[in-house]
Amino acid sequence: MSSPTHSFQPIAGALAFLVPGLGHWYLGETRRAVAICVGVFGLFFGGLMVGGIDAVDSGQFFANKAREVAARFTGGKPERVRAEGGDPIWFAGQMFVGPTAFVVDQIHHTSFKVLDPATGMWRSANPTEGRDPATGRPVPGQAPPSRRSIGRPNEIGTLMATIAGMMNLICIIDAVHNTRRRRRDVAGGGA
Amino acid sequence: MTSGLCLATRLFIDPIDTGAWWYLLLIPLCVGVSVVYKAVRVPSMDPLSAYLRQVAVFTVQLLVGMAALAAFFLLLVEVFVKTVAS
Repeated sequence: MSSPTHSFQPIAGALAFLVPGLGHWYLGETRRAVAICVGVFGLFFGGLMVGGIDAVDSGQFFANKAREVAARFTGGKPERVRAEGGDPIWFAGQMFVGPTAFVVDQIHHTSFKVLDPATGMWRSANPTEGRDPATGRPVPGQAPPSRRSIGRPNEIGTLMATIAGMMNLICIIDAVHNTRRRRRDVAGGGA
Repeated sequence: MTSGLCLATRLFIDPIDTGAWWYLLLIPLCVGVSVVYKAVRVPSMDPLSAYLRQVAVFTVQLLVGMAALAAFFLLLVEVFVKTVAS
């Protein structure tokens, strides 16, 4: 066995986080990049298809943390958005899909949740509530902007979207520590 | 049936109605995992047919593994636990 060839590629890692597969594309591994992109986005959007947009819901946990950090630098007071429920622990895995996951989460929050006037918190609309697009307040007697995901579809949809993020994390690490040639040298590698 | 259930499903917004066939969704889940895992694991993507064969084999391995685990836990709960309890 020849000596391991190891290269540290932080730019490839950053690109792999931005768009799944882009890191491997940058490294010249086009087929691998396409397979990663198809696999990760297939899992993520497959999860959205099964569980609906409710499968991706950070509950504004990470957005609030970002606002706190931004306020620390600017010296202002952070505007904390209060949201009911959400799955921040699941989103901790989903976020490794990259900006796509954050955009979907933000669209979910800004276009599909309603602002409860009684509690002042954002929440999913009830089955008999619509949404006023201007204020975000619930409108009784209308169809909801999205149906709440429950039971098996919610479980599997959330799981698929989270596994997409975890698989992309493996791809990010693989792009950063590009050890392809070392693996090729090992007999039986790739099994 | 409630009014909510009468609404047409909007893909990627509303959850789909899987009914009793929810476990078949494990197949696309395993295919997705295999496609990505084998993409970073195989030494070479050339020829593509070798990669696709590895994806197919790994998908079957995952499905058989999960089915075996399900059978094991079914036996544990339905036979072993009931035997111990009685």
